[in-house]
Amino acid sequence: MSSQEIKARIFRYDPEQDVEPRFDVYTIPVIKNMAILDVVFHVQNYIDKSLAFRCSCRIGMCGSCAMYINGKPRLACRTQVSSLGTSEVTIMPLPNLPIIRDLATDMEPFFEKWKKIKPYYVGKPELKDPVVIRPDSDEREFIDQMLDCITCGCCYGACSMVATNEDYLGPAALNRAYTLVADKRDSIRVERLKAVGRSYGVWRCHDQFNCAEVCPKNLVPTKSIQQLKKRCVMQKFGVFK
Amino acid sequence: MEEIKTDVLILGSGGAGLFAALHVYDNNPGLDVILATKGLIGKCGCSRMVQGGMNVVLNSADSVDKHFMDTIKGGGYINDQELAYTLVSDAPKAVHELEVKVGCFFDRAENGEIHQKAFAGQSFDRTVHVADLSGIQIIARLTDQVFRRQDRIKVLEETRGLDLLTTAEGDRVVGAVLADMRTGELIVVNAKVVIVATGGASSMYKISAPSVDKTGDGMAMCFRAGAEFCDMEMMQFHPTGLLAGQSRLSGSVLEEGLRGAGGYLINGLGERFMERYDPERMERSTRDRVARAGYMEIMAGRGTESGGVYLVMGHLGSEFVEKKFPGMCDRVRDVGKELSKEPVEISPTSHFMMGGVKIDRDCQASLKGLVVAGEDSSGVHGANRLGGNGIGESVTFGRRAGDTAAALAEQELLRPFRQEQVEEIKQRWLKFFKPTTGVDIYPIRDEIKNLMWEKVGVVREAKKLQEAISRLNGMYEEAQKAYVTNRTLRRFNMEWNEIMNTINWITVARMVANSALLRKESRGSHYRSDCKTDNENWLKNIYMKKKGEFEIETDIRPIISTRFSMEEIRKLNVQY
Amino acid sequence: MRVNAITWLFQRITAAVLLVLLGVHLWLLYMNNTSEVISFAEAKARLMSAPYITLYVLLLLFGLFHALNGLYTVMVDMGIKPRKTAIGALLAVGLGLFGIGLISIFQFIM
Repeated sequence: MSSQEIKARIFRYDPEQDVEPRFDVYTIPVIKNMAILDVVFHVQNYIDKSLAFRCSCRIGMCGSCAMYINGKPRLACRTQVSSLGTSEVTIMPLPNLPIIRDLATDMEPFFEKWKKIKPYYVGKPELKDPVVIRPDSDEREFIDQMLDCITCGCCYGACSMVATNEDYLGPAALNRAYTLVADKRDSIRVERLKAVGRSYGVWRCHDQFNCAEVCPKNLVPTKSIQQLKKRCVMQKFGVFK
Repeated sequence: MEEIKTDVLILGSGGAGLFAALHVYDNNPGLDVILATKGLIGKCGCSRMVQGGMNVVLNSADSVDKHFMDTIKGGGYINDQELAYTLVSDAPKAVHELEVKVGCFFDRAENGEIHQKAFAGQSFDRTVHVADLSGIQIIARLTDQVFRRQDRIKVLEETRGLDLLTTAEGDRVVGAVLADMRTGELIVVNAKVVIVATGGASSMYKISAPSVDKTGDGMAMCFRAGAEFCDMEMMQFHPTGLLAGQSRLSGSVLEEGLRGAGGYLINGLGERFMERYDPERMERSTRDRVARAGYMEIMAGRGTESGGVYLVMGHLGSEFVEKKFPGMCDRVRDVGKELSKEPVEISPTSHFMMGGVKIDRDCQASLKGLVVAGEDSSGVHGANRLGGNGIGESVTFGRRAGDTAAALAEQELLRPFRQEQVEEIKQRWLKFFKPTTGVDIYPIRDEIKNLMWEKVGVVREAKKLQEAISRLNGMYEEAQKAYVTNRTLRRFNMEWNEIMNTINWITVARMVANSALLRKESRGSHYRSDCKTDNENWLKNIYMKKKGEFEIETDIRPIISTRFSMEEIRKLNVQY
Repeated sequence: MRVNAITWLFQRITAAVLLVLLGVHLWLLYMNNTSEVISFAEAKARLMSAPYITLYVLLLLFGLFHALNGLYTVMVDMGIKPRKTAIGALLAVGLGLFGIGLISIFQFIM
């Protein structure tokens, strides 16, 4: 195999037809600036049209194309072939989620948990206008950074606590909860804190930082979860209102 | 086949679709809403991909009249002035609602008020934003609000619209046939009102900016249903699309704020070429002019080796660029370049359709029961859209579409759909599973992209447009003979999806090319190398609708100039 | 579980306290001996003094809580259901061990 080609082992599985998943191997010519997304598109467009995967924006903003690429959850669009340092790539669906077909996973469990933390903002009734907050206020800076989540599910696929406990809310949902609990404009912060303070909420996180390691937006959900734990305790003692 | 009855059916989950859903619910929580989206909710389409931000008048030194004038000036003065005025006067309300009710948090200035940054083509710094990736937050928060109202808003993900259902008279829309792409099953939705908000079809060009799933489905559906369109020739090319060879990354937009902040555009010879095209505004000129300038430099042989020009940010200081444009720096790093330090190769990229379904201020289209909002509609932006007015249109008109739909749904009865029409639609889209051999859709798809780029692109001429039209007609016939390789596989079949995309692309492309041939002048983003600007005869809009099975009926009517008269426009005599 | 925040906090407090108490325990056993070989009489005397008994009752309590709560956490992590049964079993084990511990500590007093 020449250096101008890449060997892609792609996970194939149709839960309604196949007893066992299999790997199909394709050899693909490498192009300039080739992302893994280009690899799966090449296979689907020109080699095996039955391949299934999900993609939308193709530039790292929508979080639709998370896959398990050479042993790590990543966005296919933002993983350059050249960055893998090998001419062989194994592409599998994101772990911890049901498979619709091949590389396309069913994100429903992820979003069901997202909904459980009441992910929507409920403004305080007295706030009639956009609040005046200086951009250098410490707390706001930390929230703003954590708001960049694109719900791609990489963290969810990497989290070993999600892997062992299917009820665990997971890093993304808890991170979202934190951004609302820390948002002083919101009026149901205590209610939300109670929703995440349950057994299958923040307490299942054991600070392994798997989520932070794979987050394509460089967020650190572990940090958000720690902040939530702290606030749960404060709330218990009546310090958080 | 599953049948669902509902009050309001919304197609699309971008800014317009999501906001419409919220407004239907908030107007009347008793109404049932079905929100069908081609990808995952809030993830597909382009609102999510908005980078720069949204234009809105918030400062007392600014005014909606100034914003209005900027909008029609940028739009080559053929905007529907009522729609343009609606955009600018609704925008502050929309931003207020996004902050106070939806929970967005836009970047703040030093004094703690919402920060407004500089965008091209505007007389005031009025673009609100969240760093340089604003769409993520706007759409994520709107999606969360839809989740909050899930008792009435039923979301169907990875469910694309196939065609609208109409009454026998053909003057009213009564629902749509959808396809659940996960199962491959069709669904009939019978609705009092249908809101179409699926976005444009700019992806039909070789170098293009939109998400891969946005293929003009809504427009094509509306065309087949017989709705009236306007100014379809008006295709915006964004001047700063990233060049990344054959990779899908190519064409993605490097945001307008880069030019707003003082970035330079330089050709292969190292010249700041905007001096030749708009010496006054230079890089901060409107998108149509900057894109055309870049294109002409490339065509004149003054481009880079891979057919682009350079965007240079380094002179602004790498720390400043990294801080203000982290998302852009990241993206450019994916292609192995440092935006804050070195020149980056760019090219004009097909970006946005100003043309679309003709609507009134309440988003009502020419067919009863059909409400259209966002990029699928026309008139707001005229011949060229200002950066920052795109998400503005999505959210302001999305709100209005929701209000209109709620009012209509309260008044109207649910009218029955026609079973024979459902059968016809079913046959139209499932026939590709029948043949054992036929046309491979992918080469056709690739050909459209090249054809549109070369013949209906940044610079146009009659001969090439005619060639494009005849080829598009031929391709339409060929695409009908396409087949799905794996005949028994309906679930998550991307090939079937692409066949449908391709047919929709061709449907929209035909309107674009025909309209471009009709407008025998240059204006805004429509530049004809064989015709000059004609302010005497061409302060007009081109209307189109379907005639017979697939023919196009056209009508040319004077612009809607209720606020800034044609005499005043003629006096300015702007040349493009 | 409404007590999660409290048990989580207490797990951390007990961890810190155990570090100190274990330090004291080791110091007493290895550094604070009067002779090379530990004699029965000495051990007996120690276990009859109030500070010693207090120390070991605390060690027993904190150690048991820390260990059993840790075990419970692992069980929940692994998705054991129903959790109430797990809590019941652990409480029973805990009470049993606590009883045995008390008997050992109060050996020479009873």
